[in-house]
Amino acid sequence: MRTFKKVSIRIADHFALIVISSVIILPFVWMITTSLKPPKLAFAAPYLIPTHFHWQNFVNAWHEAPFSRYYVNSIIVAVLVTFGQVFTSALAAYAFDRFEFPLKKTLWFTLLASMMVPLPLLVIPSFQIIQHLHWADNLAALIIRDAGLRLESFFSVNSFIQFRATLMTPRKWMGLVPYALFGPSFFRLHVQRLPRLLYLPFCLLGMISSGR
Amino acid sequence: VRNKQARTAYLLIAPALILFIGFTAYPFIWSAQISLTSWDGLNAVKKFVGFQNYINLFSDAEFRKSLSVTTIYTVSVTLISTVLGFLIALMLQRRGKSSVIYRTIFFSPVVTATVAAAVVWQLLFDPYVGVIDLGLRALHLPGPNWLSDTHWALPAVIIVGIWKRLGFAVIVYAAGLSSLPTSCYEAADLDGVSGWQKVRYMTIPLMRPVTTLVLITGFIDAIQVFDHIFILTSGGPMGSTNVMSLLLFNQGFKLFRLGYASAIGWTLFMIILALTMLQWQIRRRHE
Repeated sequence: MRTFKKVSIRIADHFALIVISSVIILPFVWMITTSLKPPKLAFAAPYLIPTHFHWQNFVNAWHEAPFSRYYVNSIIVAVLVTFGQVFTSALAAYAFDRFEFPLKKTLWFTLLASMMVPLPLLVIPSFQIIQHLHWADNLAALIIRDAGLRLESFFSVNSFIQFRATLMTPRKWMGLVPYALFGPSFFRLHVQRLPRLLYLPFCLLGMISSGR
Repeated sequence: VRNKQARTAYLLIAPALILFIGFTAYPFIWSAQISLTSWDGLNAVKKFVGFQNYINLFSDAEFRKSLSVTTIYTVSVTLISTVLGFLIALMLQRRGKSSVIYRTIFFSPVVTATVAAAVVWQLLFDPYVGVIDLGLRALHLPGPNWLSDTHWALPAVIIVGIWKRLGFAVIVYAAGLSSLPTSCYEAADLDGVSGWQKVRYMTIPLMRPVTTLVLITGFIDAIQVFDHIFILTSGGPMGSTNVMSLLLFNQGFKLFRLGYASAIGWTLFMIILALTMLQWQIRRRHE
């Protein structure tokens, strides 16, 4: 009886997981299927199973706008912003974790509160600062704006350092910073975040260049 | 020694601090100054009006509506994604290879650009060609006109919000669950504790710090929601999805009432700060 209950729970689990994950995956499946349909059939059944393989769509889309330029821009911004964030966050996390210094708590809460500032509020003043620096219409502005400390990076570096520190002697602590930056597991974490980083600089780029 | 320590510490924090001051703190304080004026973004003179913008805010029906929409959105997205995330993480426990596939699926919305995803959702929600309504009709259920019906627009954007957020909760809970001591559970098994009792009296209390993290970050994220609602409904129909960030955006960049928009932003910040502190305090009392 007990094993019967266990098996039925497992089946119910699987069923629930399949239902929920198909809802989650729905937009992706739809996107792939529709991208392969010829234009006339774009909104015709079957909706989620690819039947035609109209690769021409991709070629047309590619020629519709300078996508290669967009990709280059995005990759430059994403890579540099990620490195900037990881670099600044790693150094700061290390300092907060290992040292005692005046105003430590105040600084900590200020940085924490920065997560709660609504982004649209900062657009105009940031734009004016960037104009003062003569950086408007320049990728550098986007990169530097977002290269600062990022709480997600901060916390992940923090726990990483704490974990590593238990394994090492105090004298080797300093040597940890480069490891935290370029260590394989940590690096993987941030590579996964790359696509998410892409869209914010993109929106701002649009705003800045259309605002002129 | 202390002095030297402090110097090293400040040196290490300096890059982060300089960027923080330049691109967050300074613009933020600047926006406080703007919020006390009736500036339109173009005029060289920023007329000082004191707290008039803030006073106007509380008699503004649009703002009050926006406040209630934001509350409904934030509470539903945060709660549903947290509870569902916890349940999914429980179901994924001890599942071997298939859990990797499931986790990848649940996490993929988190790393998808929100704007791109929102464009796809807009087509999915379409009453004529959208897959969702076609599916509902196939099941003989009424397919609402999601994005242009005042009753269904908010649920629609909440669904997308949960879709986007769920993966984060799943991953964090899954990581938390995998770090639980197995010995306690084995002992409980020997004592004949039922599965539900184990979840209720062991897993949930042990997961409390994780729950706090998921709730607080989820709340801060949801209350500032902008991107996908901007694409899907732009706050409409009839302001039924007009969350605070959208109200701020429309006031500031469509009507060019930058003083008023800044006042909205500051009010939003104060609300977030106060509620986060409250959550923190409640958590501390539990410990």
